[in-house]
Amino acid sequence: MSTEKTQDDVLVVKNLKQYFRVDKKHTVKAVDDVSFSIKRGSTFALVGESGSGKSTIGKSLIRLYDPTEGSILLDGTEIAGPMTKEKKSFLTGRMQMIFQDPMSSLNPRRKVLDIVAEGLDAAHLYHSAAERREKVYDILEKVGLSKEQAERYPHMFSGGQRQRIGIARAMIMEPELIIADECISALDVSTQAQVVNLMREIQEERGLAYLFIAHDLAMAKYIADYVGVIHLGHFVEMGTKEDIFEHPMHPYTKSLLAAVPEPNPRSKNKVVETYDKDALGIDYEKGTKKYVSDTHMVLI
Amino acid sequence: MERGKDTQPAVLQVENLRISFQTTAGKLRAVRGVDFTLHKGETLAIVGESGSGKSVSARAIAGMMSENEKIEEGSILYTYEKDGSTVTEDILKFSRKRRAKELYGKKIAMVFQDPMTALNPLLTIETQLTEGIRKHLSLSKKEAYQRGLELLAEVGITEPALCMKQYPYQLSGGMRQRVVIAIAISCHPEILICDEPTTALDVTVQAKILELIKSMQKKYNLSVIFITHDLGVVAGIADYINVMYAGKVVERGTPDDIFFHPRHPYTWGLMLAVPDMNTADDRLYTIPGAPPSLLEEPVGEAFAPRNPYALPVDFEKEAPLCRLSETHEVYSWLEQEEKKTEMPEALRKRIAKMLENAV
Amino acid sequence: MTQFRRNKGAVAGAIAFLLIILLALFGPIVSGHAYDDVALTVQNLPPRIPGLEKLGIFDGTVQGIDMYELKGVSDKYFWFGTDTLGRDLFTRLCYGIRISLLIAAVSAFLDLVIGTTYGLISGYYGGKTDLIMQRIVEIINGIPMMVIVSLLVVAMSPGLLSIIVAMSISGWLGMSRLVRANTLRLKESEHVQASRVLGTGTLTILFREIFPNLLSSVIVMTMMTMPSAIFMESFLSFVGLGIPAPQASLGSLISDGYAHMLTYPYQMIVPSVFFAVLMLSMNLIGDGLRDALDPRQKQL
Repeated sequence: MSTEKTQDDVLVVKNLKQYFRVDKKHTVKAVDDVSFSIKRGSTFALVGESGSGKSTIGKSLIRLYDPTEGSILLDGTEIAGPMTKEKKSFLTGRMQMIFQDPMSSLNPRRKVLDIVAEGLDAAHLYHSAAERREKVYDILEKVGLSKEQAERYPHMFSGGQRQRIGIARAMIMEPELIIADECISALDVSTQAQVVNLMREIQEERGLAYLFIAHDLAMAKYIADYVGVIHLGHFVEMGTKEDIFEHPMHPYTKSLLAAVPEPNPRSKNKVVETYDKDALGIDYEKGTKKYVSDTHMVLI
Repeated sequence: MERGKDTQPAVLQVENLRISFQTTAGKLRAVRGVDFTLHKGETLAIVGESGSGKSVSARAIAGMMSENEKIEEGSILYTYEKDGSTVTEDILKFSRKRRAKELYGKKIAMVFQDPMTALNPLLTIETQLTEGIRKHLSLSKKEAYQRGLELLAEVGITEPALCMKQYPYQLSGGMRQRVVIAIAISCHPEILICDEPTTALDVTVQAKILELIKSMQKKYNLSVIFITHDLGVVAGIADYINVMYAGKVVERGTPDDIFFHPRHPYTWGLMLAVPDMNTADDRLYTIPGAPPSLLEEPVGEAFAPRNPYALPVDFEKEAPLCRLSETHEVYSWLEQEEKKTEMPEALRKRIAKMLENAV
Repeated sequence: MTQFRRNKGAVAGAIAFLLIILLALFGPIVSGHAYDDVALTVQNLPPRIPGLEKLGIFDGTVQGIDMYELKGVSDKYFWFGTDTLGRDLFTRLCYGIRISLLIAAVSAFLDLVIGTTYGLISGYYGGKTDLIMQRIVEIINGIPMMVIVSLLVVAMSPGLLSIIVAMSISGWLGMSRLVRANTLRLKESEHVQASRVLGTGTLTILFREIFPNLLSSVIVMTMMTMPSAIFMESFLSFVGLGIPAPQASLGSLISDGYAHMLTYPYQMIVPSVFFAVLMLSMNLIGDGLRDALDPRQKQL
């Protein structure tokens, strides 16, 4: 990544590995030696297809999984390794997550007020019920919901509204970094635009950073400052938005971009080449990271 | 509704279709007076978001209806060859038995969104693929098996014999969808209804499956109804487009009409809400609010509350049909106005850029 | 609630169940007899109910002969007749039902407290904890109930206590399996992940995020295991390993009546009918609850 020191990095990941032991003989290497960093206030889009490991990275970072190996520096503090109470409380105050499925990411049996206040409850961040209520109302307004809606249950809201509740729940902890794990994939097109615009607004206001995990390249291009393309647990290419979308170098990246259908009936017909890494003789484990420029990395 | 000089005759004509669901919360008016025509050999795309009624309409054609679903009004006229002559009949009037025997699987086939639930996880591919063939084409087990192998090869499965023995869980998403397509075309249908067939697939797999559907269509002169919310997909495969919102069609036209000269404010909103890889947008325009709950019949135009261009009459009466050209129609009160309402500036810029990038 | 009321079978079951409970509670007071009044003078009398006897049924006659007159007790009424020792069957039946209901209550308690907690912990923690806990379940499951009860009867005197102890050892196994299976599924749901990310404590997650979402399955299962528990106790009493004389349970009443099935059929028929109705009503209520609590909405 860039060596500029003008903005510091809110997250620095080095050699992260997340392996899952399936049985005595098989280990799934979901994330295999991944390194990247996210600058404060910026958006890093992690794009890949299903099975690429992108969601696993998100879950490893937020410690839903225990990383097999590697270092994760959040705001300069190491959060990989054995989990301690201090680490956990440090983590909850600085990194939060928004989930994919608006239907199941909210407990159907709890009121919105309680759902949004959950983080505050766990960390005892208020002195009275009134204070708790105020904080929730504040955040609900910020995400475009009214305080009357705090008394309702999730099933009374639309998918887009539920995602807003999820955003409110994450934001109330005032994190520096939010991991958005495919948080718009399950929404309608026009609702996606609403939620993404809200996320951008919040970012501008609060200087939040996002790790935006997605498979939708067009949306990633719209929202991201930096992009990492992941395939089979490895970063095959990483760089700024321009690097990746205007000057893609890795054959996998090129195949992904070529496959995205353009909403233009007269666009030039892109040749859809199948990316077959074995046929091309590519082995990610033996590859080396080559820096084409200060910001642009390709795995060769 | 003419399409153009080279269009083949109409094979399916849906007229004033009204469908409702009886739910615990009340009567849901999912489809509120929908007309569209499908011509032979063409791909008709029906575009809309959730609640638009696109899936419900198409499923009614394929005869997939829930227990609490009711066709309130309308007809679906199907034109086909019967004993040497061309007949047109309303398939909604067919008895259930007749529909099962003559139409579904045989003349009208469907490809669904989720290949995992479209295939029975407990049966081998062979069983599922040959079932329809044996029933509708009356072939023996051996003959059906051969036909099955041919079909799998046609849809791009590299080892058909192996695949026949496998179970759905052993196949990837893309392969499963190919099998579903194979099953769909196995009995030489005339009409293929695809309900978001690539939404659950990765983008590279999606591209291949779309290619496959296109080639199948050309080869067998299939008439395809393609339901989707993805404008990129629509641009690539549609010959004609119907845009639906809240149970009604709001605009219809050729891809050129819809993408380069859209006239309905919902179409404008939809196009602007999609980030385009080739245009650097500063802000994504969003349609504020959410689609209406169709438990109540909306008064006037359903889109009016979210429509920044709404006229007072939009809240009172449903908009009339306006014919803009030979191919292009829109349901809008704006067309009655003397002064033409222009599309938003952002959209105009985007369209200009699209035309620049065009071939 | 409304869906339960719509299910006629369930409502009928609920009413029957309620009536039986009332009978068990207030029957003995109304009848005026005690359950252990041995009086050989009034042995084996058929049922005689004042009021109904005028209709020709329950009039204390057997094949035309008035047994009460015969024994010189025309002034007495035994509503369901008497057994070989002259004890009033109606009162004994009420006490018998009380025992059965007590067994049902114990079964429900075991299911809800032990079974549920065991399943929650085993399912949520997984790994070694789950492995050990499940092995224990399998071992307990492997030992036949009859062996356990027989051993207990030898160690303790036969009676309600030995039955309850036997039930406590294995009666909750089914519930623990059900809860464990559901917990395994629920712990992957996004709102549970969200709670973990927000720092909510494990116990809170178990009882606030997971448990309420399996409540409907738990209730239904409890309603279904209660009849099995009653049946088990009845069976044990029937074979002589259960309630000792002079106490009465539905099983022991049926057992006693069985011996005289051909000569005094009412002694077996009456408790059998009540037994069947009790079981049936519980099953109907269970069915109704299952349908009513099923979150899958059939419409929409």
